[in-house]
Amino acid sequence: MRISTAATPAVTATTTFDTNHGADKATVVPASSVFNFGVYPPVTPGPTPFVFKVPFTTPFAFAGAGGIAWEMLIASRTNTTAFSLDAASGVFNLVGVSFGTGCLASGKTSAASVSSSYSTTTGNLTLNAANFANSAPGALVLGINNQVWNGLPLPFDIPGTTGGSSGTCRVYADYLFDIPLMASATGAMSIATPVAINPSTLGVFFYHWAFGLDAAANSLGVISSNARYTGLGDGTTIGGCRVYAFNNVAATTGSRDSTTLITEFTY
Amino acid sequence: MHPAILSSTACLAFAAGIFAQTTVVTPAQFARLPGPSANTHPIGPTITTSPSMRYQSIHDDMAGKPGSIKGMALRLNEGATSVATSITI
Repeated sequence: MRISTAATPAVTATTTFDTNHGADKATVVPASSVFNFGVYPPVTPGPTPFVFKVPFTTPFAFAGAGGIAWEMLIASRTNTTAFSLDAASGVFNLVGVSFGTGCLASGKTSAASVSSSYSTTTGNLTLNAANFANSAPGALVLGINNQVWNGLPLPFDIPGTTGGSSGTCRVYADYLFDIPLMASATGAMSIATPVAINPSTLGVFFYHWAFGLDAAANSLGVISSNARYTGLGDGTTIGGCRVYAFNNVAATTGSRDSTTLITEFTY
Repeated sequence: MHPAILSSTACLAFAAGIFAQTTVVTPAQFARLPGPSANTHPIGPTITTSPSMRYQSIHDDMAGKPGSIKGMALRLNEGATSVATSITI
Protein backbone atom coordinates (compact mmCIF):
# COMPACT_ATOMS: atom_id res chain seq x y z
CA MET A 1 0.00 0.00 0.00
CA ARG A 2 1.29 3.43 -0.96
CA ILE A 3 0.45 6.93 0.14
CA SER A 4 1.70 10.39 -0.69
CA THR A 5 0.87 14.05 -0.69
CA ALA A 6 -1.20 14.24 -3.85
CA ALA A 7 0.59 15.92 -6.72
CA THR A 8 -2.66 17.36 -7.98
CA PRO A 9 -6.17 18.16 -6.77
CA ALA A 10 -8.71 15.50 -7.64
CA VAL A 11 -10.25 17.58 -10.40
CA THR A 12 -7.01 17.52 -12.40
CA ALA A 13 -5.87 14.02 -11.48
CA THR A 14 -5.02 11.89 -14.48
CA THR A 15 -5.55 8.26 -15.36
CA THR A 16 -1.83 7.62 -14.88
CA PHE A 17 -1.44 6.46 -11.29
CA ASP A 18 2.06 7.66 -10.63
CA THR A 19 1.54 11.21 -11.88
CA ASN A 20 -1.03 11.73 -9.13
CA HIS A 21 1.46 10.86 -6.41
CA GLY A 22 3.71 13.42 -4.81
CA ALA A 23 7.45 13.08 -4.37
CA ASP A 24 6.98 11.79 -0.84
CA LYS A 25 5.24 8.59 -2.00
CA ALA A 26 5.87 5.92 0.59
CA THR A 27 5.06 2.25 0.99
CA VAL A 28 3.20 2.05 4.27
CA VAL A 29 2.15 -1.60 4.07
CA PRO A 30 4.57 -4.01 2.43
CA ALA A 31 3.54 -6.27 -0.41
CA SER A 32 2.07 -9.67 0.44
CA SER A 33 0.44 -8.39 3.64
CA VAL A 34 -2.76 -10.29 4.40
CA PHE A 35 -5.81 -8.64 5.96
CA ASN A 36 -8.70 -10.70 7.25
CA PHE A 37 -12.04 -8.96 7.65
CA GLY A 38 -15.06 -10.44 9.36
CA VAL A 39 -18.77 -10.36 8.75
CA TYR A 40 -20.19 -6.97 9.66
CA PRO A 41 -23.92 -6.54 10.13
CA PRO A 42 -26.00 -3.87 8.39
CA VAL A 43 -26.34 -0.49 10.06
CA THR A 44 -29.12 1.87 9.04
CA PRO A 45 -29.36 4.72 8.50
CA GLY A 46 -25.66 5.03 9.27
CA PRO A 47 -23.04 6.25 9.13
CA THR A 48 -21.52 2.84 9.73
CA PRO A 49 -18.35 2.32 11.77
CA PHE A 50 -14.94 2.20 10.08
CA VAL A 51 -14.40 -1.55 10.30
CA PHE A 52 -12.06 -2.19 7.38
CA LYS A 53 -8.91 -1.06 9.17
CA VAL A 54 -5.52 -1.07 7.53
CA PRO A 55 -2.83 -0.17 10.05
CA PHE A 56 0.35 1.09 8.47
CA THR A 57 3.51 -0.90 9.09
CA THR A 58 5.44 2.31 8.50
CA PRO A 59 3.68 5.55 9.55
CA PHE A 60 3.45 8.24 6.90
CA ALA A 61 4.90 11.63 7.82
CA PHE A 62 2.32 13.89 6.21
CA ALA A 63 3.25 17.56 5.93
CA GLY A 64 -0.26 18.63 4.96
CA ALA A 65 0.92 20.62 1.96
CA GLY A 66 -1.76 19.14 -0.27
CA GLY A 67 -4.36 16.44 -0.43
CA ILE A 68 -3.61 12.77 0.03
CA ALA A 69 -3.32 10.07 -2.60
CA TRP A 70 -3.57 6.56 -1.19
CA GLU A 71 -3.30 3.42 -3.17
CA MET A 72 -4.07 -0.25 -2.60
CA LEU A 73 -2.61 -2.95 -4.78
CA ILE A 74 -4.90 -5.88 -4.21
CA ALA A 75 -2.94 -8.98 -5.22
CA SER A 76 -5.68 -11.44 -4.34
CA ARG A 77 -8.97 -11.77 -2.49
CA THR A 78 -11.24 -14.57 -1.33
CA ASN A 79 -14.77 -13.18 -1.14
CA THR A 80 -17.39 -14.77 -3.35
CA THR A 81 -20.21 -12.36 -2.46
CA ALA A 82 -19.84 -8.66 -3.18
CA PHE A 83 -20.54 -5.93 -0.66
CA SER A 84 -20.54 -2.15 -0.91
CA LEU A 85 -18.39 0.45 0.78
CA ASP A 86 -19.60 3.93 1.67
CA ALA A 87 -18.76 6.57 -0.90
CA ALA A 88 -19.59 9.99 -2.29
CA SER A 89 -19.25 11.80 -5.58
CA GLY A 90 -20.28 14.99 -7.34
CA VAL A 91 -22.03 17.80 -5.53
CA PHE A 92 -23.23 16.91 -2.06
CA ASN A 93 -26.79 18.14 -1.65
CA LEU A 94 -28.58 15.34 0.11
CA VAL A 95 -28.20 11.81 1.40
CA GLY A 96 -31.31 9.71 1.89
CA VAL A 97 -31.48 6.30 3.48
CA SER A 98 -34.73 4.33 3.65
CA PHE A 99 -35.16 1.68 6.31
CA GLY A 100 -37.86 -0.59 7.67
CA THR A 101 -40.80 -2.01 5.74
CA GLY A 102 -44.16 -0.40 5.21
CA CYS A 103 -47.39 -2.34 5.31
CA LEU A 104 -49.79 -2.96 2.43
CA ALA A 105 -52.68 -0.68 1.55
CA SER A 106 -55.88 -2.24 0.24
CA GLY A 107 -55.72 -2.67 -3.52
CA LYS A 108 -51.92 -2.31 -3.61
CA THR A 109 -49.27 -4.85 -4.40
CA SER A 110 -46.29 -2.89 -3.07
CA ALA A 111 -45.72 -1.77 0.52
CA ALA A 112 -46.28 1.85 1.49
CA SER A 113 -42.99 3.70 1.25
CA VAL A 114 -41.41 7.13 1.52
CA SER A 115 -38.57 8.85 -0.32
CA SER A 116 -36.83 12.20 -0.46
CA SER A 117 -34.97 14.10 -3.13
CA TYR A 118 -33.44 17.47 -3.92
CA SER A 119 -33.61 19.23 -7.27
CA THR A 120 -30.84 21.65 -8.15
CA THR A 121 -33.10 22.94 -10.93
CA THR A 122 -35.96 24.02 -8.69
CA GLY A 123 -34.09 24.24 -5.38
CA ASN A 124 -36.84 22.17 -3.82
CA LEU A 125 -36.51 19.47 -1.20
CA THR A 126 -39.30 17.01 -1.91
CA LEU A 127 -40.71 14.45 0.51
CA ASN A 128 -42.77 11.69 -1.06
CA ALA A 129 -44.97 8.81 0.01
CA ALA A 130 -46.36 6.11 -2.26
CA ASN A 131 -48.61 3.08 -2.25
CA PHE A 132 -51.27 4.40 0.09
CA ALA A 133 -54.99 3.91 -0.45
CA ASN A 134 -56.11 5.94 -3.45
CA SER A 135 -57.60 9.35 -2.66
CA ALA A 136 -57.57 8.69 1.10
CA PRO A 137 -56.55 11.09 3.89
CA GLY A 138 -53.07 10.68 5.29
CA ALA A 139 -50.07 12.60 6.54
CA LEU A 140 -46.32 12.90 6.26
CA VAL A 141 -44.70 12.73 9.69
CA LEU A 142 -41.40 14.38 10.57
CA GLY A 143 -39.13 13.44 13.46
CA ILE A 144 -35.53 13.43 14.59
CA ASN A 145 -35.12 10.08 16.33
CA ASN A 146 -35.22 6.46 15.18
CA GLN A 147 -34.41 4.93 18.57
CA VAL A 148 -37.19 6.08 20.86
CA TRP A 149 -40.43 8.02 20.62
CA ASN A 150 -41.86 9.41 23.85
CA GLY A 151 -40.38 6.54 25.85
CA LEU A 152 -41.35 3.84 23.36
CA PRO A 153 -38.43 1.97 21.79
CA LEU A 154 -38.52 2.10 18.00
CA PRO A 155 -39.64 0.40 15.87
CA PHE A 156 -42.90 -0.70 17.41
CA ASP A 157 -45.95 -2.49 16.04
CA ILE A 158 -49.08 -0.38 15.67
CA PRO A 159 -51.86 -2.03 17.71
CA GLY A 160 -54.82 -3.16 15.65
CA THR A 161 -52.88 -3.76 12.45
CA THR A 162 -51.70 -7.34 12.87
CA GLY A 163 -53.93 -9.89 11.17
CA GLY A 164 -55.28 -7.56 8.51
CA SER A 165 -54.50 -7.67 4.81
CA SER A 166 -52.00 -4.88 5.49
CA GLY A 167 -49.77 -7.11 7.56
CA THR A 168 -48.38 -5.62 10.74
CA CYS A 169 -47.79 -1.90 10.39
CA ARG A 170 -44.87 -0.37 12.29
CA VAL A 171 -43.52 3.00 13.30
CA TYR A 172 -39.79 3.43 12.67
CA ALA A 173 -39.18 7.05 13.70
CA ASP A 174 -40.57 9.52 16.17
CA TYR A 175 -43.39 12.00 15.60
CA LEU A 176 -42.56 15.66 16.07
CA PHE A 177 -45.25 17.00 13.77
CA ASP A 178 -47.19 15.99 10.70
CA ILE A 179 -48.32 17.50 7.45
CA PRO A 180 -51.87 16.38 6.62
CA LEU A 181 -52.31 15.48 2.96
CA MET A 182 -54.78 13.72 0.72
CA ALA A 183 -53.38 10.82 -1.26
CA SER A 184 -53.64 11.19 -5.02
CA ALA A 185 -55.76 8.98 -7.24
CA THR A 186 -52.78 6.63 -7.37
CA GLY A 187 -52.08 6.68 -3.62
CA ALA A 188 -49.19 9.14 -3.60
CA MET A 189 -48.50 12.03 -1.23
CA SER A 190 -45.88 14.69 -1.77
CA ILE A 191 -44.75 18.05 -0.52
CA ALA A 192 -41.99 20.26 -1.93
CA THR A 193 -40.21 22.98 0.03
CA PRO A 194 -37.56 25.40 -1.21
CA VAL A 195 -34.27 24.82 0.60
CA ALA A 196 -31.04 26.69 -0.06
CA ILE A 197 -28.37 24.03 0.30
CA ASN A 198 -25.14 25.66 1.44
CA PRO A 199 -22.38 25.07 4.01
CA SER A 200 -24.70 26.09 6.85
CA THR A 201 -27.08 23.23 6.04
CA LEU A 202 -24.40 20.54 6.28
CA GLY A 203 -25.40 17.93 8.83
CA VAL A 204 -29.03 18.96 9.22
CA PHE A 205 -31.04 15.77 9.28
CA PHE A 206 -34.52 14.48 9.95
CA TYR A 207 -36.63 11.40 9.51
CA HIS A 208 -39.95 11.15 7.78
CA TRP A 209 -42.59 8.49 7.39
CA ALA A 210 -46.26 8.49 6.47
CA PHE A 211 -49.57 7.05 7.48
CA GLY A 212 -52.93 6.90 5.77
CA LEU A 213 -56.47 5.92 6.51
CA ASP A 214 -57.51 2.60 5.00
CA ALA A 215 -60.58 1.02 6.56
CA ALA A 216 -60.22 -2.20 4.59
CA ALA A 217 -56.58 -2.84 5.46
CA ASN A 218 -56.90 -3.83 9.13
CA SER A 219 -59.09 -3.38 12.19
CA LEU A 220 -57.48 -0.03 13.08
CA GLY A 221 -58.05 1.29 9.58
CA VAL A 222 -54.58 2.80 9.27
CA ILE A 223 -51.48 1.83 7.33
CA SER A 224 -47.95 3.16 7.67
CA SER A 225 -44.81 3.34 5.58
CA ASN A 226 -41.18 2.55 6.14
CA ALA A 227 -39.03 5.51 7.25
CA ARG A 228 -36.50 7.70 5.53
CA TYR A 229 -33.44 9.42 6.94
CA THR A 230 -32.58 12.60 5.05
CA GLY A 231 -29.32 14.44 5.68
CA LEU A 232 -28.55 17.74 3.99
CA GLY A 233 -25.20 18.45 2.42
CA ASP A 234 -23.31 21.66 1.83
CA GLY A 235 -23.86 22.07 -1.90
CA THR A 236 -20.16 21.78 -2.65
CA THR A 237 -18.33 19.40 -4.96
CA ILE A 238 -16.67 16.49 -3.23
CA GLY A 239 -12.93 17.05 -3.58
CA GLY A 240 -12.00 13.53 -4.45
CA CYS A 241 -11.66 10.95 -7.16
CA ARG A 242 -10.36 7.48 -7.87
CA VAL A 243 -8.25 5.79 -10.50
CA TYR A 244 -8.51 2.05 -10.83
CA ALA A 245 -7.44 -0.85 -13.00
CA PHE A 246 -8.85 -4.35 -12.75
CA ASN A 247 -6.85 -7.56 -12.72
CA ASN A 248 -3.45 -5.93 -12.98
CA VAL A 249 -1.65 -4.55 -9.93
CA ALA A 250 1.20 -3.42 -12.19
CA ALA A 251 -1.04 -1.30 -14.41
CA THR A 252 0.34 2.18 -15.00
CA THR A 253 -2.96 3.68 -16.12
CA GLY A 254 -6.59 3.06 -15.26
CA SER A 255 -10.10 4.47 -15.35
CA ARG A 256 -10.86 7.66 -13.47
CA ASP A 257 -14.11 8.99 -11.96
CA SER A 258 -15.22 11.16 -9.07
CA THR A 259 -16.25 8.34 -6.74
CA THR A 260 -14.51 8.89 -3.43
CA LEU A 261 -14.52 6.33 -0.65
CA ILE A 262 -15.29 7.69 2.80
CA THR A 263 -11.93 7.19 4.50
CA GLU A 264 -10.73 7.57 8.05
CA PHE A 265 -7.07 8.27 8.77
CA THR A 266 -5.61 7.55 12.17
CA TYR A 267 -2.90 9.91 13.41
CA MET B 1 0.15 18.70 45.89
CA HIS B 2 2.77 16.20 47.04
CA PRO B 3 5.74 16.19 44.62
CA ALA B 4 5.36 12.43 44.01
CA ILE B 5 1.69 12.86 43.06
CA LEU B 6 2.52 15.82 40.85
CA SER B 7 5.24 13.78 39.16
CA SER B 8 2.89 10.83 38.58
CA THR B 9 0.21 13.11 37.18
CA ALA B 10 2.70 14.70 34.83
CA CYS B 11 3.87 11.28 33.65
CA LEU B 12 0.32 10.15 32.98
CA ALA B 13 -0.45 13.29 31.05
CA PHE B 14 2.73 12.86 29.06
CA ALA B 15 1.93 9.23 28.32
CA ALA B 16 -1.61 10.12 27.27
CA GLY B 17 -0.19 12.70 24.90
CA ILE B 18 2.17 10.18 23.39
CA PHE B 19 -0.37 7.43 22.91
CA ALA B 20 -3.47 9.47 22.11
CA GLN B 21 -4.82 8.70 18.66
CA THR B 22 -6.90 11.05 16.65
CA THR B 23 -8.84 10.29 13.51
CA VAL B 24 -9.75 12.39 10.50
CA VAL B 25 -12.61 11.49 8.16
CA THR B 26 -12.38 12.48 4.52
CA PRO B 27 -14.33 13.85 2.74
CA ALA B 28 -15.01 15.69 5.97
CA GLN B 29 -18.71 16.19 5.20
CA PHE B 30 -19.27 12.55 6.03
CA ALA B 31 -17.81 12.40 9.49
CA ARG B 32 -21.35 12.29 10.87
CA LEU B 33 -23.41 11.59 7.75
CA PRO B 34 -23.59 8.50 5.58
CA GLY B 35 -22.23 8.92 2.08
CA PRO B 36 -24.81 9.36 -0.70
CA SER B 37 -23.31 6.66 -2.92
CA ALA B 38 -21.61 3.30 -2.64
CA ASN B 39 -19.03 1.19 -4.40
CA THR B 40 -17.64 -2.29 -3.95
CA HIS B 41 -14.00 -1.52 -4.77
CA PRO B 42 -11.36 -2.12 -3.60
CA ILE B 43 -12.36 -4.43 -0.74
CA GLY B 44 -15.86 -5.58 -1.61
CA PRO B 45 -15.88 -7.07 -5.14
CA THR B 46 -15.89 -10.82 -5.65
CA ILE B 47 -12.93 -12.91 -6.65
CA THR B 48 -14.70 -13.51 -9.94
CA THR B 49 -15.35 -9.84 -10.74
CA SER B 50 -12.03 -8.47 -9.69
CA PRO B 51 -9.46 -11.00 -8.45
CA SER B 52 -6.82 -8.28 -8.28
CA MET B 53 -6.65 -4.56 -8.90
CA ARG B 54 -4.74 -1.34 -8.51
CA TYR B 55 -6.88 1.28 -6.76
CA GLN B 56 -5.98 4.89 -6.03
CA SER B 57 -8.03 7.48 -4.16
CA ILE B 58 -7.39 11.21 -3.87
CA HIS B 59 -8.70 13.38 -1.04
CA ASP B 60 -8.28 17.14 -1.44
CA ASP B 61 -9.53 18.07 2.01
CA MET B 62 -6.60 16.41 3.76
CA ALA B 63 -4.56 19.49 2.91
CA GLY B 64 -3.67 21.35 6.07
CA LYS B 65 -3.97 18.28 8.30
CA PRO B 66 -0.34 17.32 8.88
CA GLY B 67 0.86 14.59 11.18
CA SER B 68 2.12 11.07 11.41
CA ILE B 69 -0.55 8.89 9.81
CA LYS B 70 -0.57 5.45 11.32
CA GLY B 71 -3.37 3.78 9.42
CA MET B 72 -6.56 4.13 7.47
CA ALA B 73 -9.96 2.52 7.41
CA LEU B 74 -13.00 2.25 5.17
CA ARG B 75 -16.58 1.64 6.14
CA LEU B 76 -19.44 -0.50 4.92
CA ASN B 77 -22.23 1.23 3.07
CA GLU B 78 -25.30 1.84 5.25
CA GLY B 79 -27.63 -1.13 5.16
CA ALA B 80 -25.05 -3.42 3.60
CA THR B 81 -23.78 -6.67 5.09
CA SER B 82 -20.22 -7.76 4.50
CA VAL B 83 -18.92 -11.29 4.13
CA ALA B 84 -15.75 -12.66 5.63
CA THR B 85 -12.90 -11.95 3.27
CA SER B 86 -9.17 -12.20 3.14
CA ILE B 87 -7.26 -9.68 1.06
CA THR B 88 -3.60 -9.70 0.17
CA ILE B 89 -2.29 -6.20 -0.38
